[in-house]
Order: sequence, then C-alpha cells, then structure tokens
Amino acid sequence: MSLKMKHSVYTLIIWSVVSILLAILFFSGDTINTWGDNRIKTLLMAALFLIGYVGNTILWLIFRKRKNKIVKDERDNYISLKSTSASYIATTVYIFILAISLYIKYESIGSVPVAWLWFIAYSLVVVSFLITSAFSLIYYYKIGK
Amino acid sequence: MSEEKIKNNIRILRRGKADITQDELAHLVGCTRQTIVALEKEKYNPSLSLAIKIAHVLDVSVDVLFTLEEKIEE
Repeated sequence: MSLKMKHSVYTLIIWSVVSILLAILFFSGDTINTWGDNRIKTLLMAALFLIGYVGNTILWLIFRKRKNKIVKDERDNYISLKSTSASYIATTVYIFILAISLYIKYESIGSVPVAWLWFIAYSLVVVSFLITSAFSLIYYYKIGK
Repeated sequence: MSEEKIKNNIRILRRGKADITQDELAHLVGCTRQTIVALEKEKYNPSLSLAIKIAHVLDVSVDVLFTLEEKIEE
C-alpha cells in the first residue's frame, strides 16, 4: 500500500467518525427546531470540525515530504486529480438532492428551519472529505495499490 | 470501432537485461514501487518523462519499451 493510499484510508476513517458524530448530534432530540436555543450542541458541532482538521494536520505531519523517501509520484497526482473531479460531481449531486428534499419537506410550511442551513454547511465539508478519500481508494484499487 | 491500449515490456527488460528489482527501478526513476507494479500490470500509463527515464535506466529506446496495440471491435 502506497503512503498516499494510507493517507486516504486514515482521512476516510477520521471523517467517517466526524460524520457519524455530526449525524448523532444533529438528529438526536429536537435539534432542528431548537437550534437557536441549544448553544452546547452548536459548539459541539463546531468542535467536531476541530477533530477533523486536527486529524488532517496530524496526517499531513506524518505523510509530509521526507529525505530519500518518495511520498507521492505522478500516479498519486493522477489519482488525486481523478478523485477530486469525481468528488466535485458527487458533492454537487449531494447538495442538489439535499436542497430538493428540504424543499419538498417544507414546501407547505413556507420556511426552512435555520438549523438545516447549518447542517448543509457542516455536512458539505464532511461529505467532500469523505467522498474525495473514498474515490481515491476506489482509484487506488482500480489502478493499483 | 477500435480501442487503443499501450503495452509495455518493463517486467521482461527489468528482470532480464537490467536485472534489477522493482524497488531499485523505482528509486532510479524517482517514483514509488507501487507505480512500477501498476506499470508492469499495464494498469497505468506513465507520463512521457517517466517513460523516458525508465527507458534510459533499462537502456532501450521508448518505442522498444512501449508499443501501441489496437483492438478492432465490431
């Protein structure tokens, strides 16, 4: 397994944990309707991002350029480019489906709770990291580990 | 309809004439061993610069190392 593939595996694990915790926090209790009153949950959700980004920083430190060791080459760059392009489309589809679903759900009411806007913002970051690393792994399996 | 595929003789030349390991070849051309594995399995087509570097290390010309195979499908 190449170093960049290991990097993708760890990124996928970190952001999977963040996404599960985000879903638990957001969908537990009456978070959607009491978003403005629930300061602790809002802070916890922000703290989740800190976990994700600290994880990313640690990975960057572990997998950064080393002397006499090739961390990544043109094949890794090619896979990175392919996975970024694929994740761009997948993320766009995710936002489209989520926006349409919210529209259908709240069409009769006439307004969408502000919590959903926060959810779109938070989940967009999580989903983009998840999908990019997942596509990287798919391409690594396809082209060679 | 035709489909083009790039075939290579890296494995044959590396094991035969050059007698070096995948790791050694990777080190000499400045890529990872996994890339050499992918090239030998013909799962990845290298850039022109990498192709020239490999040809140089294996002491052959690029057209000896890589051939274009055209599959004709009906």
